[in-house]
Amino acid sequence: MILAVSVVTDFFQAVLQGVPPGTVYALVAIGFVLTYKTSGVFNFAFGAQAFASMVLFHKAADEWGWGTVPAAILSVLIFAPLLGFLLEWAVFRHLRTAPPLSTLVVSLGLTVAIPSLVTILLDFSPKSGSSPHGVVPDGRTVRYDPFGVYPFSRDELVATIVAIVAVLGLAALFRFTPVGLMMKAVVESPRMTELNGISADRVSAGAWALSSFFAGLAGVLIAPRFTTFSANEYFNIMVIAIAAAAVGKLVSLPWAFGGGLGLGVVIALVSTFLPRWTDEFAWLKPVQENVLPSIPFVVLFGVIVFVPGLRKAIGSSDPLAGVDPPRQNVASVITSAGWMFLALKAVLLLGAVAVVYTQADRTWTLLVTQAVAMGIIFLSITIITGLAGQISLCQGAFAAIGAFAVYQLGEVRGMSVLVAVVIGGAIAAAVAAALSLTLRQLTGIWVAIATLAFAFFFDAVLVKQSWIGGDSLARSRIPRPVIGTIDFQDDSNFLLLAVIVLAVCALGVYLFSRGTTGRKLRALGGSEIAARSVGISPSRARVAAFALSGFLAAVGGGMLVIGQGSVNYGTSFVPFLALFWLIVVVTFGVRQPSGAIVAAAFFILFESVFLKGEIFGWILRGEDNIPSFFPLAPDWRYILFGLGTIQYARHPEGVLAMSAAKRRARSERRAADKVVVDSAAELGTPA
Amino acid sequence: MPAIRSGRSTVFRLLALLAAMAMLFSACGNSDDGDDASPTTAATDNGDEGDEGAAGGAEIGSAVIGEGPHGEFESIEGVPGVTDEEIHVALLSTGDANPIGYCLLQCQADGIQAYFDWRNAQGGIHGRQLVLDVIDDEFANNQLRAAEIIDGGEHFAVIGSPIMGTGFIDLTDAGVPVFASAVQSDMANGVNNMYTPVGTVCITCPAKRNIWPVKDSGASKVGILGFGIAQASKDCVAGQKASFDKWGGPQGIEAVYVNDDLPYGLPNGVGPEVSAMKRAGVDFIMTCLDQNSVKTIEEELSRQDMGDVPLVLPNAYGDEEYLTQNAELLEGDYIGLMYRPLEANQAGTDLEALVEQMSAAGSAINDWAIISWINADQLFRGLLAAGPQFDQQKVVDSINSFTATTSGGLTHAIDWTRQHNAITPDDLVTNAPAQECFAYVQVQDGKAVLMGDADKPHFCWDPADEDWKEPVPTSFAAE
Repeated sequence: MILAVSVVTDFFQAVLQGVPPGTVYALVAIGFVLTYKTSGVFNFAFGAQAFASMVLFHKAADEWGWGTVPAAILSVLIFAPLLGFLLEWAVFRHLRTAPPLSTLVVSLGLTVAIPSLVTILLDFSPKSGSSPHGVVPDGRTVRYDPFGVYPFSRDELVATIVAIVAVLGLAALFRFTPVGLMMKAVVESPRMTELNGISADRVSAGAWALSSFFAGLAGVLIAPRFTTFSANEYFNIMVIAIAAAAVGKLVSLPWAFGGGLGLGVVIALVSTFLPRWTDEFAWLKPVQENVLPSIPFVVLFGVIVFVPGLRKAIGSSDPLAGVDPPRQNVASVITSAGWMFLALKAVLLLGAVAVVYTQADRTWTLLVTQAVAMGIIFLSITIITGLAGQISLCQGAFAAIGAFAVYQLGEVRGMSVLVAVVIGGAIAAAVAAALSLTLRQLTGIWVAIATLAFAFFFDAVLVKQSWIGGDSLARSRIPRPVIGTIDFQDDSNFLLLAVIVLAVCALGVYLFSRGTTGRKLRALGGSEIAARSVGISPSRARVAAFALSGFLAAVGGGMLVIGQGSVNYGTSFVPFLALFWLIVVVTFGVRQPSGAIVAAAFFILFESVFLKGEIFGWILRGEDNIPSFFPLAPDWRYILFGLGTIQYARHPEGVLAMSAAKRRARSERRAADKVVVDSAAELGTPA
Repeated sequence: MPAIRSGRSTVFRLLALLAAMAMLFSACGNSDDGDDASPTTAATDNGDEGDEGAAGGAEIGSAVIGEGPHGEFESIEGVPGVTDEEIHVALLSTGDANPIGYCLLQCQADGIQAYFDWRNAQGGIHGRQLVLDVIDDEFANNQLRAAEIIDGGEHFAVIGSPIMGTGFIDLTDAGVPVFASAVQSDMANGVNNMYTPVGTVCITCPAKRNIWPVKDSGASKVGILGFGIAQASKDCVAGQKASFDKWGGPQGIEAVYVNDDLPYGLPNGVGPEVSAMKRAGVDFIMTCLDQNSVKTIEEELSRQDMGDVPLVLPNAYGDEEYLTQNAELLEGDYIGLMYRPLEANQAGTDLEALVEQMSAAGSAINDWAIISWINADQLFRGLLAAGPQFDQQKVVDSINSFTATTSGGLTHAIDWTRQHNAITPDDLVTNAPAQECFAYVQVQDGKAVLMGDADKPHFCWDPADEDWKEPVPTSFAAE
């Protein structure tokens, strides 16, 4: 009897303990659903917007001495809605008819750019010992215990109350008010709304301001839950909140609220009742270590894969969708650069490598080698996104599989590291293929979210397994390979080997894209219905693309760590960084191998060459001539590339192809003008 | 229209290519195959080739170094970072980009610069001034910055403790003397030209020092907390658990709650974990966490009426703002130190100079600054012992001949002839210092208060003693 009472008490206590973190998830999930309902945009940048408001709040309250209330007014009531207006006016208004994948890429770019921009503009950096505080006086220290079981702090109570009020208020807004109806109408059909005399732009701007205000509010209210001021924490919470939002199929505010609370409570219950391992029950350790951190991502993955109603996108039933001529689906166009142009690119690349091989010091050799290895990884994005039209956000996990395979097989077990690279590639290919099979019913953004869930699962659970990440990577000294009498311990020799591997992989990508599977994928990209009608199986083609993509990422990851001599998962393969990879490749051109290679060069070399001002030193012949405002903060890399994704929706072919197309258009215009002039001259008439 | 190849034959072609690559690469080996598995070292054995420069080396390690001048000037050519006027030393650490927000780069720079200023005011070393060049690895570029240091040839040695020391292996392979911290002990293990302030530490090994604060507080049931995602944190938890497993029983102390799997940032809070500790009767908590996470735990302890349970705090020494702002939460907590606390008597030690120099510069005297001062002192003593025709190898050989260096009375005696190799869980004696020493302060009213004797602030144990006994209060100040 006593035991039963104790269990009930523990249960009740765990439920209450789950409410504060659950409220955090609920607040973010509500905001996410709000943005999706009112704009149709799957806004990954919601967390970044929340972070921006939080940073401004703390700068104003703590450093500028404004006090809590004025700081909250500034960050939540003024800055946040203005940010929403700006995003709508400058970015998302022009993407209203863009494919969902395009807006997803843009939102990813903003996810990366906004925190870096805010950090630089406000001169903000986290400080150990200083953790975020809330808007309520004595919010952390004053507590209330309404049930006599577990006290809540003021901050937590306020956040919970706000979440409840928000969900009720917003639900009422959408259900009972004209404003809410207009917001939903604009998302479903802007043209239809305009035909009814309602300004879609104005409604959309208001919707973005509202959702951005909510982002600011959430950012400030949830800040006390975090131990540090970190944009990554906000992004991680976003991913968990998507799981909560998915419970409500991304459109139901009450269900998103319930999903968030439920997630917090479930985690607390599992944490309370999962048996603790002891020396006597050591087998419990892996269970305990892995169950808890995996819960949000398993829930997210499971909801996406197994809830069919989730995949119907808002806006897909627009009766006036056919008014504009359809955009040419770029995936259906096979662009051929011509053998001469390809040969020229190859010569340029070989020339650059020759210069580095003969002239560069160790630092630059190391940098270029990293760029080459990243080029191999980025080729995986060319396959999965450029060719197959899927956005995979777990390429970092595949690359890490390759890296860990090299460590486990090459260093720990003494196998040839190059064989370990191939084995790692095969393992990643198998994992990617298996993942693709589970996602075969999904398309578009759902593939992206599911792969993101996998990436976080890999990060939270798999990396720390001793048979994957290893027990002590700090001690790793990954050997360089030896082929015959050539010892690649020499950095320059290893660079050559990496270039050869890159060339082989690039050729493989080129051949794959022009082979049967590649053509099938293009056909699917052009029109899936038409492709199916001629017997092309989308799932088979996509599984092949995923497998090859996983293989390439792993090979690149393996080559990267061999070059570096150690595995640095935290700085090389984490999910947030892998987002940035996609952004960089998309910017330069995701459909051609050259886009991936140039993207890798920029990704690695941008900071050294541009942000540190080295290029000025080369041009002005001397490091002393570098302007004094250099070096610029590394964050500028994220800002420039992040904002660069905004052009993706208009030019999904990327910067390189866009430049090439413009050059071709200019040449054609010149040729046409010449014809006109010549004709006029012949006829003796003015041109 | 080009002929469409069968998809199946394309797959077979790819498989064949893979198989060919595998066969080709299986004929290959790895560089250094056949060598033993221990990390390569750049330094030779201690002292064999550096006798000229290492004359008097062992004595200099433990000597009280006077006002100066120190050493003699002789012109040197071809030594990286050395001119006739200066010796350049690089600080390679992590600045603002570090996600935890620790004061690493600036605080380490403050400590090293304070030491250099002190010695430079005495005339420098071998007629040269010590110059510190601060290099920020921006968290992710440590290996790149290390390569630049090696390529540049403009730095004689490297001091620093970054978040990710990925370039330190390259530096040591290149023969550069590297002075890091206990955090890099894994990397330093067995490497003859890499140094830490108190010898190479084994984080997973049991340590007698872990028993003392628990006994002092009268507690008997210990909880141990660490992060799951950080191997260093898990290793720390393992070491602490091993301590209580080995020595706790006879002292009536037991580790009743061990959790090395907390998620970083504690996004779900720690309510259930604290409740579990409460149910287990935990009355003392050891932590392998960062400062902010400890604060979160303290708040939860307070919430669940466990606010009186003492903790051992990480890295909080000298952070007056943290201690003051959280005085109530941290009341009664312990901070363990590997060096002589500032609260002890400073006479006969270089603590006086440290405090004077750092105060004059307006620098905060905290954990990282003190550790960096000690590192700078080890380098200085190595330079002095190496003689006027010094180079990197001679300095390494000199330091490696020190059998009882205490960095001016700040640490227990370190024997660099043995302590490049860490102790192991199976052998706690062979590579141990002569005495395993630690100091403790306790947080009282927002201030650090010394535990024990102000004249003999180090609690020392004999590593050869199988059992745990009360420590011997010891001082390493000059007589």
